[in-house]
Amino acid sequence: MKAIRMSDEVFRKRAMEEDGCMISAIGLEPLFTKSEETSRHAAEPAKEPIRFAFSTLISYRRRALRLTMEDLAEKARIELDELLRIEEDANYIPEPRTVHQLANHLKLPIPQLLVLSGNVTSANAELTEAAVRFAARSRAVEKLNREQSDALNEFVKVLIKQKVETEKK
Amino acid sequence: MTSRRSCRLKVPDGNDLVEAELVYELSKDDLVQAHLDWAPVRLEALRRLHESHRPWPEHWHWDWSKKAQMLDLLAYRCMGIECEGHFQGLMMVSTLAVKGRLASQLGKPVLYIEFLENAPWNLRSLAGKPQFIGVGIRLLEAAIEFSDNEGFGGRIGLHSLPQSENYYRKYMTDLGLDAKQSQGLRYFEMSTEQVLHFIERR
Repeated sequence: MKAIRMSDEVFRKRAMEEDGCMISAIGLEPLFTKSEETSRHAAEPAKEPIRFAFSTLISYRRRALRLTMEDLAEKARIELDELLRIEEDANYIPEPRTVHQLANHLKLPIPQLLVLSGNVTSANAELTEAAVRFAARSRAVEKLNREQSDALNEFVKVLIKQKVETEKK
Repeated sequence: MTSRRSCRLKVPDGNDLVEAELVYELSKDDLVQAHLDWAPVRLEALRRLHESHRPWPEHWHWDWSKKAQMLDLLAYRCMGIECEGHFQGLMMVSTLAVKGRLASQLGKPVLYIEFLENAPWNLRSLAGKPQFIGVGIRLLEAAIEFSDNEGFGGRIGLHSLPQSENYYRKYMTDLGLDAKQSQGLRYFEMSTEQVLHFIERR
């Protein structure tokens, strides 16, 4: 899309169309409280930031590599729907094949990504702590700023150096 | 993207546009301040509506200071239009895409608008003569711009309160009552093609 702002002339017209109208819109329930699945996970608070770190990590890493969702889905040969769900829904657990594909194309370590995605469990406290820290520092925005890039790089470094003893679910 | 950019709002009389600013990322303090600004005006307007037996707006109870806690979550971004030292309208969006429901964009990423509201002094039903016109248009334009920057093709979606449905129906597709929405509101979506129609850039 070339230009997404309207001219003054168009704005005047649209503003007149708005005059006298109510414009209020209201959303779904806030994240983490909107689904039954989420309620189930509420009893396991430690998992939420880890899963959220996974969603955010995929989103950030994709953007850091300047890939659109469509680009990544095509390269990794996964459904766009599934990628969208991974980035949107922190409670969604993707198939191991999907995680492998994403890890390969985003240049991230597979075992660690399997843990973060909820496919396998690990008692690695350092990984959990790094994921929680990353989730807390992250914000999903249009372009990564310096602080977000630093948070991403720091988290990826921790991921890469971890030796994860995992147990398949 | 810089933290703010200039935009213009319309005044009710004549064709004049006044300078305003779109603020891309509001803080919790901004939302608390907006609530402190808006609440007394809204309450006074509600008192007048009550006395004259006229209906209240459906969002009369909204409190942006309570919505501020959503900014603790990673997925929310709040934007506002500032003019003459006050926020004239506020919008919260979810930066994690939702799936498009329109047939033409099924499954494609869509920017979801969580909340959108005009300042009480800009609503004819509350203020009589609004101070500024076109705040909602500017917020939709900002949402489209944000969606485009995110790589969502300018696509946006929202659930409208019943009193606002006719407004959104002008520019977006009404996809009907949404059983998933906790209040059973109608869901509206604007496709990339509708964006071009909305801004009249074809």
